[in-house]
Amino acid sequence: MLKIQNIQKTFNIGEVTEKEIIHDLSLEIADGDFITVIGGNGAGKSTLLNLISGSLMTDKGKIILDEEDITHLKEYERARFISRVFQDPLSGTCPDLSLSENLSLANRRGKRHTLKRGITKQEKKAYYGLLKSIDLDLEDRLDDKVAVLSGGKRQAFTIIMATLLTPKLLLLDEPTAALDPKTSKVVLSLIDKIVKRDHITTLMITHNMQDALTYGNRLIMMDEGNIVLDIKGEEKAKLTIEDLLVRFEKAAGYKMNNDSLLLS
Amino acid sequence: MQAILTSAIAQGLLWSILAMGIHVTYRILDISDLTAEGSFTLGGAVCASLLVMGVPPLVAIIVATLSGALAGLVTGLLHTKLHIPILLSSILSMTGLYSVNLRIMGKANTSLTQANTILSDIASLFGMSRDRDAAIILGIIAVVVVILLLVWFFNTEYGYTIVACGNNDKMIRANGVNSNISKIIGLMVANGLIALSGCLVSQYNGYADVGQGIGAIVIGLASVIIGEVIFKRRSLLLSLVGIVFGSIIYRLLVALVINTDFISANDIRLFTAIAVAIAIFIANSNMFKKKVKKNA
Repeated sequence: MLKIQNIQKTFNIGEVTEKEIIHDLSLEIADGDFITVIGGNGAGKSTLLNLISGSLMTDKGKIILDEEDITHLKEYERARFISRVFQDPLSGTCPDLSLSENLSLANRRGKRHTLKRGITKQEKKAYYGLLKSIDLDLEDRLDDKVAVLSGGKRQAFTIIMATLLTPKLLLLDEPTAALDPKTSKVVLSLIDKIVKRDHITTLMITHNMQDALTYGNRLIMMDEGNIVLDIKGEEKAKLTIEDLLVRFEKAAGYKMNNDSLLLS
Repeated sequence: MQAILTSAIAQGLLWSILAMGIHVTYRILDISDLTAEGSFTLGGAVCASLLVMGVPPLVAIIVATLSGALAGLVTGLLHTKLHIPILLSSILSMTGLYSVNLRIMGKANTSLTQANTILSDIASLFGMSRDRDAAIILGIIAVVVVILLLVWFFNTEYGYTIVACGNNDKMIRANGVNSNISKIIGLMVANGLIALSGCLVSQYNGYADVGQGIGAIVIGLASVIIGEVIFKRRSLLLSLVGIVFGSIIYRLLVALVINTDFISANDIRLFTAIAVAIAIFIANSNMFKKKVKKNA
């Protein structure tokens, strides 16, 4: 489905601060995979997602999505197939537009924006039904500006926006890191529900090892710009945090710094 | 007194279109675009030069508006293609426009006393003896047309992308919009309006002057802020209506201040700049209070 072939990314090339973040990374993702990505700070997780989405361009290597080489497509061109949710609940929505106006933008992701009316009546009805089915009490707030939503509601709403048009690939960069544990759980189960319902191929970065084990069918762990662990299916289902720590130490050659990852 | 009132309303209406342009860049796109100073004069220069040549006023107004849009395009391209910070891009445009405006007029000042303007057209249509009496009618027509067009535009699919681009660049690109183009279109709309305002104001003044744009941004901002004090920022329509009232109130204040003994017409820009600085300070400190409350 997605083939990442030998990609490499170095920041600040030619300067004193030059730093190689991704070193010759390859990854193949099957249709319908829900992959959780863990790793310490600076392991290259976010960079990997940014390279896939096109907000950063690779220095070397290829990215192929469904047989199409997207390596040189710009970020807004890739948005046709790829949806994203960022860590900061504020960054996935437009605060000055209403909920329905935000949904209308999401409903036209990757399409041409014309001078037609921004929202049609049928569209608004559909949005009402959709929000009602999600059960977050958002359906009566369609005309409110997004700015008035709480962080958790706003992040849940971002996820609804990102999946309004089913993307080929959904990229989630620590979607719940800024939320309290209870809200975090609500948002994660919403993600799980939608990903399963629409069979969306998903990559989700998380700092929380338990979440990485609970969700998804595949887990990858990154360290210093490489994938050091890749655990799938049955094996992943049985995995515990202790197993992960042991296997990380074996693969990376040093003990994991527990400060950078939450153990529960 | 009545003369002061009529002139304040007429000028307020014509200048309010400038303030709407400033609203588009400052509030919607969230950028400080100094092109305005040049494009306001550009509108006047283009319009006056065409009117002197005997071109029909409506045509001159349309060409002047398009010339402003072109100035916005230049600023937008400098910013998005050459990656020059937006403030500097607009300063470059503004500086360059000074020479362009002198080239267009061939001199620093073009008189319109002999030319047929939109005001003389309207005055003869309504049988008015003096052209200036037509200014309020012209102002109302222009303001209504511009408000209707802006409200329509910002409620289209494309309009949403411009609002979103000012709010959250990252989000709009993630939704497949080339935010550079949205920004450029926004700058074109804004500077088109500003040039339109410059063109109408020149006709009201009876001349176009190479210095007429100096201070335009601050004057526009003053109107935007007074408007927000009256109407808050509830919807675009209310914001725009607020700007019209803000612009008229600003003109009344200026008229009152000029009539005092210790402030002369030359002091107006200093007076305006101080007033805007204080108003923005107060607005910001209010916002700060609200934020603290929300988080608590």
